Amino acid sequence: MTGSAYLALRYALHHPLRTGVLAACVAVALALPAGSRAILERFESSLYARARTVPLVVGAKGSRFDLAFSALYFRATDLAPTPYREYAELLDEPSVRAIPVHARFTASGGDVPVVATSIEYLETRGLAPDEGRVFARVGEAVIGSRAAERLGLGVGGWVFSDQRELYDITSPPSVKLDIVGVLGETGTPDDDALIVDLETAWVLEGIAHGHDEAEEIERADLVIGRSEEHVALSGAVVTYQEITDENAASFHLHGPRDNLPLSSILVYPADDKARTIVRTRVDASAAAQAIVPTRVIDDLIAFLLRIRALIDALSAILLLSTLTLIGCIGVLSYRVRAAEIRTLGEIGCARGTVGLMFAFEAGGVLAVAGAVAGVVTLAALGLAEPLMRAGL
Amino acid sequence: MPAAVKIEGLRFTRGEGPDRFELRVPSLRIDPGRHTAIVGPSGCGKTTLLRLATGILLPDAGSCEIDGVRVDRQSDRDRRGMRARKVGMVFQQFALLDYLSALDNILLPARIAPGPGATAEVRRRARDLARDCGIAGVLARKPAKLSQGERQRVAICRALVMRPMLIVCDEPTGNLDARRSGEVIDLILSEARAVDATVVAVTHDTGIVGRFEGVFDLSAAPADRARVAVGATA
Amino acid sequence: MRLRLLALACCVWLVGCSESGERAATPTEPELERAVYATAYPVAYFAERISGGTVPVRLTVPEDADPVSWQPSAAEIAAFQGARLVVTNGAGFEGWVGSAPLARSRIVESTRAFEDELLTIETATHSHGPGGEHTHEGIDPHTWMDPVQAQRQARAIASAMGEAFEGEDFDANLAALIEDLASLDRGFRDAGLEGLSLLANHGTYNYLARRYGFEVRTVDLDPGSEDVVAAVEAVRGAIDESPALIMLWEAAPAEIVASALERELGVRSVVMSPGERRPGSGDYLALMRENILRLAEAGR
Repeated sequence: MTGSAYLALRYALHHPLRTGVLAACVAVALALPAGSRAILERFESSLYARARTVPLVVGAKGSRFDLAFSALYFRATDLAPTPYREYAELLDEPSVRAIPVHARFTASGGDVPVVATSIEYLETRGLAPDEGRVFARVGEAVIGSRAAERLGLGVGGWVFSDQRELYDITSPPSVKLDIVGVLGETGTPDDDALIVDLETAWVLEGIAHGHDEAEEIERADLVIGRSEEHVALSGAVVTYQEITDENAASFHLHGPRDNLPLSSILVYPADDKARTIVRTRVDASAAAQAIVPTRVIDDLIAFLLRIRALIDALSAILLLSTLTLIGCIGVLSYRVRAAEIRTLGEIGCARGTVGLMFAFEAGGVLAVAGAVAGVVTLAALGLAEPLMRAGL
Repeated sequence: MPAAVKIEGLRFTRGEGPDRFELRVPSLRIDPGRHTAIVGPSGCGKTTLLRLATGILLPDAGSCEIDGVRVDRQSDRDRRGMRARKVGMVFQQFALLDYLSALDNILLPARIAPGPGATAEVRRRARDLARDCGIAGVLARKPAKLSQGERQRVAICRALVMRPMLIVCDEPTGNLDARRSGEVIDLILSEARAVDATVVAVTHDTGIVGRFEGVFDLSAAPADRARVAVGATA
Repeated sequence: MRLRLLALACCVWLVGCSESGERAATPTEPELERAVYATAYPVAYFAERISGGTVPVRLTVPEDADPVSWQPSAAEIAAFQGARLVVTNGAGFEGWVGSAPLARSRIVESTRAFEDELLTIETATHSHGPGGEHTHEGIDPHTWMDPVQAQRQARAIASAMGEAFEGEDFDANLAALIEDLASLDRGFRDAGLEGLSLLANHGTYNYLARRYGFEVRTVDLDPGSEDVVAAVEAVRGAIDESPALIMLWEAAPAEIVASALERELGVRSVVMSPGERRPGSGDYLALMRENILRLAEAGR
């Protein structure tokens, strides 16, 4: 047994090129289906894992995929915003937990999504700061662990939000966001995000702003008109780009809160009844839709499965041809080695031992190929992870 | 004590018509420890006789015994086992495995035979043999890197490493000049003597026949080969 | 050979699968402090009465701070964030709550149910360039001054507390509080205010005026000021427009101011504390009862 294994090893090592090519062929034939399946599987389970965390998403009518990916993965979309009113109405619904999300902004040059939401988002997702605390006012942010690592940011650090229209001076300026907490790692897209309070998003939108009290502005060039109860300010009045403890209180909204924009609302109905109520309410609305994220993922996966079926078919062909190749090489090898086999027989080598020798050789090649395929698959998965994060 | 090799009424045929080959050996007996040369012209069946004696081929009629066991009645499996345990072989072309080092070639019988394999004891014996044969320095080389003589010695060591009771040599000096042939035969015989092994060697090299204790000549009248090897029988 | 191949494929497959940890679908429940955080004294009082000691009620606004302009620190916000329930008066009384990062679902705005009935008061407006002008919220926040409105606030708080603290029964406590507030209502009715025209040093009494059918005009005066001349001038201006015999003060005016107003203009000063902060002694109920007593006495 060890003898035949030893001989097989010696033979394989004596013909490194032959063995290598053979192993490589098998490795490719194994790695292709295994790798693609593993990646798809990971992709799928990661999508579902995320989708399952939110029973319902309410947002503007339009692409269900856009809405789901905006709510789950903070992808900026072209979907119309949903008014705050929708959220306020859901808030009044007993047995329904509603969490507003406004994910239209990025920071650090598009690197990190700025997710504006409520503290309940952190609570519901089990996101707690490992370091520091959660945001306590406008302009404060907590940062996901991976984003913190990537940007080299920690508590006390800051990052500027990205201006959406760089060359439009009337667009809201970028705002300095103070990092007050670094969230523990969860292995979800939250790790890559900067999370702020909803109010902060409205500052980013330019809907809320802070400036000196109109009555207290002395510079004549900044005051266009002044009456008993009205002070008209010049557009040149500099709104604060940096929110501090001192000026935080001066930030105020223009316009009623009910019309303020949200990108989506995460909804957690306590029971089926509450779920039905939410769906009915939203269905009645002209502008809003309610989606079940897992259903959206179902549809996406159905598409991915078709791709997988194709890859599987290709892999099967590849595997079959590789097996044929191995078979051919085996037969040829047996012929080439006929003299050796005869000698072994004459010396007294049992037939089984010769067979075992060939089996060991093939098994060894397969084992090496399998190991290589395994490593390749794992490496592909490792590569797939950031790809997936970037892609979602 | 049974004969090392005993053949009675052996008949072996191959082929048909003009290609027909027939070998008859009415009786051959080689006692343990004897060194016997089998001689005869090319094509007379010297190698075939060896193969029949060791159970590689089976006779059409007659019996072949090794160490008192009827080889021709054994199963293929048992015959292989018997060869592995009791017979050491030196082939005409040495038949070394090109992918094994000289040492591994010597150890080959230990590796393929049922049993403990290439134990430390077997390895020590292999090295001792290699030293005796003057090839201790080239044990790590593969056959392609060995000279003709070195290969020959490796083949001899391989035949001896399992301490077989019978050493069978097929033209062991076929490609060597007279001086070298003598040396090789002396080496085989002395090593065999050291382990009390019986030696049966096929050769057409008349120069070395004299070194054997007995000679079995296959050249005499093939149809009526009733003679017993000269001095080969007790 | 094929079997071996299958096994290998399975191994690779399993490695791929095992690492994809799936998280639970159910949302995580936060650990919250079993307490009610109030943002102003009147609602804190209501919550305390409703709780009856079963649930701690915390009023973390500092004693010397104005609940209207108070800006909590990060640590103070954190306490509110971690509370099972945050009770606010609403109606714009607590300016900071609207923009504070609190869990909206855990805030009970006690005036929410009658938002539409709130009174507006004028405040300054401003506009930015062509963006259009906007008025900073001008809702009168002193809703609790009207004991009938206060009952609605108390009910809203009780209902929210009932939801937030399952298993607690606040009905009896609520009923007692409602009864006390009803007695205040009777007290105000009996004070004979209907049709009167009153002055006030601050716009605190609009809801009372609406409820009990009197008129109140604000003459902005600081109770701490001893500027008799200015006070008399201001009040004279007001009573020239329309006569009034009583002026309500949020806090006791300087003695010389009060006596000058009474002596020169026949206007009696009555302290009508709004109870925005926890009183040094007594409570909201006692404070209001004293308010009623003083008012009734002055009216006589």
